[in-house]
Amino acid sequence: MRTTNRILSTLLGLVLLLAGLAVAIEAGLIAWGGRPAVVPADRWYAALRELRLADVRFLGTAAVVALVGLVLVLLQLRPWPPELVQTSAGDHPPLAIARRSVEQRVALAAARAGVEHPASAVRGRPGRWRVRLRGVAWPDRQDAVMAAVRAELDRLYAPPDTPVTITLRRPARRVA
Amino acid sequence: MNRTLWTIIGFVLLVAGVTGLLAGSGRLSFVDREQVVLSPEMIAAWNRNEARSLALTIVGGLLVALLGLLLLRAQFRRRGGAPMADLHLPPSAEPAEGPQPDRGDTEVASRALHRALQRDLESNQQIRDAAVRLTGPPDRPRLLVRLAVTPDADVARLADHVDRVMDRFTTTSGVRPDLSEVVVRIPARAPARVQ
Repeated sequence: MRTTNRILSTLLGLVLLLAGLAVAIEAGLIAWGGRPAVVPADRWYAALRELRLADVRFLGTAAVVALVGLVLVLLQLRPWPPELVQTSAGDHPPLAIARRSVEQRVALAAARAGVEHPASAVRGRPGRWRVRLRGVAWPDRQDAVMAAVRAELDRLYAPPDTPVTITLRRPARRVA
Repeated sequence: MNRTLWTIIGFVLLVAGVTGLLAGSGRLSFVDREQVVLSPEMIAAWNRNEARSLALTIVGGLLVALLGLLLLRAQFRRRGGAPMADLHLPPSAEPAEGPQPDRGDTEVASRALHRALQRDLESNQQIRDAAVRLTGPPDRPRLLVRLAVTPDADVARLADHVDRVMDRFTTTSGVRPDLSEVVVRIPARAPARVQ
């Protein structure tokens, strides 16, 4: 989401810059008795003089604008997973690890412990985070998988009390 | 900052869209839904003082362009501000025996300090690539470190290594930076084969 926002902001900056310059230049051309060079001002002027508020095109545009606004607000206000999570304080100042790196290492550790299609998610705040792992394995593997994930979190120097939730689905058939 | 900006933009769009829908469906008592978007009154108001309207439009356009430029610049600004200036060490005050040689000042280029830190960090086998940024005043700079490490790196040992690097740096340069952030990234690799 942070990257998306950055790209959106860069695009918005470009659009504002170009649109603002275009408006200023076209208005300048009109002021000095010329005609607008790029913007089809006459056509827009004619169209907006005809367009009524009850027109379906106006209503449609308003609906799209409202929907885009609603989606933006929901995306921005929904809690975001942290980009970086902090390691255990210990004797050193804590390091910050990329959340995706932690997710990958946990998923790999689960795969080595026999979980198929492991998917791990790190949520919470940078200083207080938790790990959720989902995958396919027999329920009797639960403890072994938990031990593998804990060992991997230790190697990542995660705070020792980091909560871990493991949800295993049964495989379709037992693999010999 | 971008999150706040897009939340506000979202709210503005939402309010504008809903107002448009209400006005167009006739639920706003003070707006006639048969009214055209660009009403004759607005056109009359523009024509009454055309020169001023055009001037305002030009100024408005330039302001919008300036806002766009500021927004663009904010996206490409680097974190932590400008890099630290070169380190300037005055001649030591210790009295020397015998004839005094000419003593000069010592300058240590900021780039040299950056490179020394980076090399020392990369001396560890677990670190593939280190990027450092020293910012702020040369006597007490802030340090940002980005480390790309091997897929099986032990992060506790990395923390030890970073500590030792900092100590060595302080011994050699006489500067103790504030370690403001160390970010560790572990690049993806192909999933390990299950034994």
